[in-house]
Amino acid sequence: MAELIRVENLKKYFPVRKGLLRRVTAQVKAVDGVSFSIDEKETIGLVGESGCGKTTVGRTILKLLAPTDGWIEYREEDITHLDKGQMRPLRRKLQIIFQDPYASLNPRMTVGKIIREGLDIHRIGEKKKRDGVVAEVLEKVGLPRNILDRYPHEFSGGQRQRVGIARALVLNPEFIVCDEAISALDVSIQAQIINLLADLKEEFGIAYLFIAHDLSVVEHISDRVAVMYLGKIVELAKTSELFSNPLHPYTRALLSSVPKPDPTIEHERIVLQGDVPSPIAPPEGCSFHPRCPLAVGGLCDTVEPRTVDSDGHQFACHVVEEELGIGREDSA
Amino acid sequence: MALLSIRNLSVEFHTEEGIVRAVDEVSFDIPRGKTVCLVGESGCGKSVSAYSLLGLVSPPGRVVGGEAILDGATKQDLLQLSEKELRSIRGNRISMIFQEPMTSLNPVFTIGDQIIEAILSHQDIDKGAAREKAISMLKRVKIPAAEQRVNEYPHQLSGGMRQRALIAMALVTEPDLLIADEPTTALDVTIQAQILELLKELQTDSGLSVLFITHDLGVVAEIADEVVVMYASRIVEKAPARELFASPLHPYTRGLFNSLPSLGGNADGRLQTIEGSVPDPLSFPTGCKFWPRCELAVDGCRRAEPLLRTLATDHLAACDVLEGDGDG
Amino acid sequence: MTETGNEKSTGFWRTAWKRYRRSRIGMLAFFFLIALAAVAFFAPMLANDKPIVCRIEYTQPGDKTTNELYFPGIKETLRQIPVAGHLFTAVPPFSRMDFKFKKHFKPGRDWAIMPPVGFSPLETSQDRLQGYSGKHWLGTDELGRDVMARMIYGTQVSMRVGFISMGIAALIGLCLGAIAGFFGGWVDMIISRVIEIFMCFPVFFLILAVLAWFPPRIENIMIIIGLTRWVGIARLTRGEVLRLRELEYTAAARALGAGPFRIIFRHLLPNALAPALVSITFGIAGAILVESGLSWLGFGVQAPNPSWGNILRDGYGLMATTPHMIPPACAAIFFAVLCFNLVGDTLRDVIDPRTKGRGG
Repeated sequence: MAELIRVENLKKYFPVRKGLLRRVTAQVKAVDGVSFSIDEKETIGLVGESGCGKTTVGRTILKLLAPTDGWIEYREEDITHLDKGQMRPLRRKLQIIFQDPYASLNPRMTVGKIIREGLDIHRIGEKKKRDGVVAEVLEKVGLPRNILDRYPHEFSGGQRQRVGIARALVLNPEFIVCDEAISALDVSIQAQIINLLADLKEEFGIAYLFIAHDLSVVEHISDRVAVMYLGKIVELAKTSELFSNPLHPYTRALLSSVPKPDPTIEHERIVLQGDVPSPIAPPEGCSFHPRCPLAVGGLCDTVEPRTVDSDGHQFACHVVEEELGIGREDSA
Repeated sequence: MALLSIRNLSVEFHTEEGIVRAVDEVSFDIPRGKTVCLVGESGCGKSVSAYSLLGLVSPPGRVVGGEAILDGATKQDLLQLSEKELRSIRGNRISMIFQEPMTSLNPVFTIGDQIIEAILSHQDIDKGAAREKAISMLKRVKIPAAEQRVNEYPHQLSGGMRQRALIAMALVTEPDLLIADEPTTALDVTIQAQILELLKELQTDSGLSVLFITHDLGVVAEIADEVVVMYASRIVEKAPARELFASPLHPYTRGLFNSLPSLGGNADGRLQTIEGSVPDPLSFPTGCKFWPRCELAVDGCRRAEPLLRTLATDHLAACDVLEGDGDG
Repeated sequence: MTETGNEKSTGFWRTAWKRYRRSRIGMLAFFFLIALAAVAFFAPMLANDKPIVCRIEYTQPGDKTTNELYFPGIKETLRQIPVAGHLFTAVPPFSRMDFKFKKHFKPGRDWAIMPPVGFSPLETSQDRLQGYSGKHWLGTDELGRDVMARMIYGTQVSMRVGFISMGIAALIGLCLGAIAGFFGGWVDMIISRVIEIFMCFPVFFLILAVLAWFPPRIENIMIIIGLTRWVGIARLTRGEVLRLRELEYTAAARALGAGPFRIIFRHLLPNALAPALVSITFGIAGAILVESGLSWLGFGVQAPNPSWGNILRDGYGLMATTPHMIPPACAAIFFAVLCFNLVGDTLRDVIDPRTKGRGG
């Protein structure tokens, strides 16, 4: 599979402005040096808790936010510094689905117009035929064809999410960022949408960046999974590998925190102490060290760990690096 | 005798578009010292049921039937109490915590002040003693540096801390029952783990009963002793937790379990889904409310609303198609 | 699938109207305003010394006698419509020439349908300062002009000032507010400072000051009110746009490749419109008050043209002796402003997002 998207050392900082003159007093380091790649038709899961930067990564890749540093490649073309006009044709290929089915559809527009907008903006096909295209896409996402004149408020959360998917799909994209696309839905509807996304991937060959905080969903749908903490990727591996053999202590804690729907499982819970720190002032050294059960004084609190690649399984942790005996000569 | 016995609770909302029966003949018990989980998806009536116990259902909603008998020195029917009587119960014998800690806490008062207020409205002690109690409660809910934190404002605390502060406020008067409405849904999963641990500990220490409302079956597995599953205003299944997870009976419950990514799923990676979506409360289907989405539905399902029947020991389900042991 | 029955899809405004209809006071006020607008438009057919329609035998110089239908009242009414009105009346049967009706009308030979109030607002007579009577329903003023006729024409002034000035204000306010809210940065800074500067001025006195330079014609008053009132609308719109900008459907539009103007005019403004509309409605009430106040002070509509404000003024001057002009003018201003406010109030309740249509 050809490489579709590549991100190198991506950073996105948000300035904090205080005072009358709006001076910048601090930076929110939402994304602080993230690197990974996505192949055609691949699904990468991106997990992490609030404040880890996963939503920001998704939006920055699509240039909905301007990157502070690093670069983004689409099909080996550097798109980091393309302006709005230059990005526009690419937007057909790179799309996004949002979390909130209520806020992601303009309440004043009919469903038909919402889905059609992409076609109108990019002037795809003849005007008269566009409604027909919309009806086809509606069918593909499991909605009836005749709802073009209805308004979003008449539909349920799951149906609205399907409309959002149709909107992204109508442009025939190669890559879709699913920004917590199912988190706001009921459990039984989540399953329907997950199946739909999988079907669309099969039929249209779409790559996904699946951003979520629900690990079991991510496990189900992703080929590879990246775990983020405070703006950095702490671990990245093939799905089965990550879930069966998590290396980074944060990943381990995360996995053990997820309540399993099986009361007979009594497992040793790794309950992390403390709270998720703020991305404005991330801790020195390894940003996880204040909560890490393995933290080594003198090392973890001063030196940032480098990302190590062990047979396709990437992670960033001094202690585990030591444990696995990965010497200085190996590099990420 | 159970701490709280709810029988035939029914709540209606009189809206512009019609009458919505949000809770329909709901009956279950909350035993002492145990956790009962009320599970269901959005709109099933679980939150409204809980709110009605403390008289928190506001117009256009009304409790239109049933009783909720609270055991104690004297038995009382919560649904019949006056506002004044309810106030002496709220925060005292029965406490409640909600999903969004930020909106439950008053932003202009310190945590300490709010906890002290909770104490003083029910107990006749002086302010100094109340403050001591507040600090020791904050310690009990594992808030570090409690002596300093007690003077902080809600916005200075993280989400997890706020929820702990709320739990402190709810439990400082040593209630018999804690009603928790999706308290961990808005929290990160690692923080959720902390809060669930905390609740379990507090329960063991004090014999507290908990009515925990959630839609997350994983959480249910973690903390529930008994599970009550609701769908479209009715209870569809009731069983002890282990029993329910070992063999869910009602087609809706089974469907829920099967649609979870970690458990269900066919070999080709598709999740089993429940077709269709939750019905509009203004136009519930006739007969069994689940029949349009049910694999087992037969003609009879359309005509008669099934009642909860005992199908196995302590295990009840509302489905006329299933056969059971017929135990008393 | 959640069905909503067989009714046709309800957009936001249709739903809003349905809910508006439920308010009795709102509907009452609304109908009153419709009536007011009708009076303003049909004024030449309601109060005029020329008939609505008549048939007259008319001998032209040159001895050609015609006996035809004429429509002076209707013609005058239609001519109020800019452009189209004039085109329409250039065609027969309206194009028949005007003439001095009173001179040529012979009661026995000809017939005419007169407007209910058979006087022109400018027509002076010898019946000065008469009280209410069968002939002059609301009496006459010092120059013998019929007060009822003047009140009816005064309605035109109030309606025009209200709608046109707020129309100008709305146009400027919505656009600038949306642009400020959307672009942020220095664009927002400049526009916001301008808004703040404008808000410092007491509007009424600003208008008076400007009127010292410009002739107090009604067009100028409308423009000035419009140019001062836009700030309130801009501020509201800016606030709404700032909020809406963060919503996901805006990000979705950007992700589709929409440019800023499509986003502003297609996505943001339609959603930001509702609160601005309420403000506009209140603004119309305010504009009517301003105009009445200006005319009362003598800086508004000038004699001999009627306006509720200057009728009130004339009446006030004669309060001790012949106060009959005061009640109608007062009542008109009061009810017009009241009804606009009621409509605005009801609108505000109706568009409250808390009670929006049910979703999933």
